[in-house]
Amino acid sequence: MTETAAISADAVLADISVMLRAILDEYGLDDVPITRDTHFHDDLELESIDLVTLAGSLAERYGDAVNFAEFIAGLELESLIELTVGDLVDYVATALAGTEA
Amino acid sequence: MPIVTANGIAQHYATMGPIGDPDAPIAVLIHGVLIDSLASYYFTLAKPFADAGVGTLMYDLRGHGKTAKPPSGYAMSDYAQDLIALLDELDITRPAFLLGNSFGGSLALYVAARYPERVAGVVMIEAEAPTAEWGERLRNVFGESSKHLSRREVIPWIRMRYGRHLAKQAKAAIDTLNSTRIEQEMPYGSMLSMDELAALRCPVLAIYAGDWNIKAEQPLLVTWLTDCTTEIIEGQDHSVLVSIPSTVCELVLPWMTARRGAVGAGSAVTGAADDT
Repeated sequence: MTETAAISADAVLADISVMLRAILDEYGLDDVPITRDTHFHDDLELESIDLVTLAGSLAERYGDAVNFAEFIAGLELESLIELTVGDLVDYVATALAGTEA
Repeated sequence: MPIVTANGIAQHYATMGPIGDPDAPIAVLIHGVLIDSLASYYFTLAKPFADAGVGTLMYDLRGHGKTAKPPSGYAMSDYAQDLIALLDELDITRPAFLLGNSFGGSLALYVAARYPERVAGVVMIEAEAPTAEWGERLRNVFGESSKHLSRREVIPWIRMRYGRHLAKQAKAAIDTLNSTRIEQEMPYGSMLSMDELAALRCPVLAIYAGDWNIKAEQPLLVTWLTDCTTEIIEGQDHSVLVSIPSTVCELVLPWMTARRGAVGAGSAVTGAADDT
């Protein structure tokens, strides 16, 4: 059970990295490392409009099970600023596990 | 997020909720000018609206976000045509509620006056009626913005004081000011006269922040509009939409629901269609 969850979290990280690369490519930033510890705000310097693009990519990949707008709306401004790729991976993995259950 | 060509430019938009359900009300959410995009709605009102059964359309105005930034075409009438063309392109023909923040609210009222058959109601958040006087005030705002934003040291200052995110947005705003005729076109051209305000039949909800000067506009709207409800949220400033979106939702959704019946009846809404 734990192993399955861990594998799926890795797969989600890989998916999200591809989505973020596509967004960063637009700014010519193709060499920024993306790990679980990467901060959306401080490391990737994503703007809110980029997060909308990411929300679209997530919806396209995972369907209704993953609702990024809802996830973001539930965060306080401080948590939003400190949001890491790992936080999003965990949210997506949990949301997907919830649909399968 | 999707992009369509409408009114000759690539327009970036997002939808949430039952946009294709002909029985569901439609809300079009219009953002403010220069430092703004559809993201202001995507992470605030869109989800609660969709959950309440409202089909929600957000889009980036020309010169903003991921919509095209052509060198010209920034008058109110251009922005109105952009919106109508986008609605046509997305096959949204029934009257929609237009909700706008700041400049977006001014545009919403303008579209309601010029295309009454497309508008079920208007929600103006911290917004002024697009009258000739408003155009004059906007000219001053643009003048001040250009003066400050043209100074080279302003970006590092914004970055230091407000962080990188706003500094990036300010940079994009400077780019729009420098590469387009927005400053020369938006405050000029066709505006609404008092007669046009008085001829407007659709319901209007105007929400103001208690700690900001736009609330001084309230008597003008109440005097001239046929069906105008106003609300003042105390202890808030111009950014009330993103600061307390849930309070804004609590004011807008019941108002919209109550006005929907009248919209379904149709006659009151289409009555002013041929006014001009």
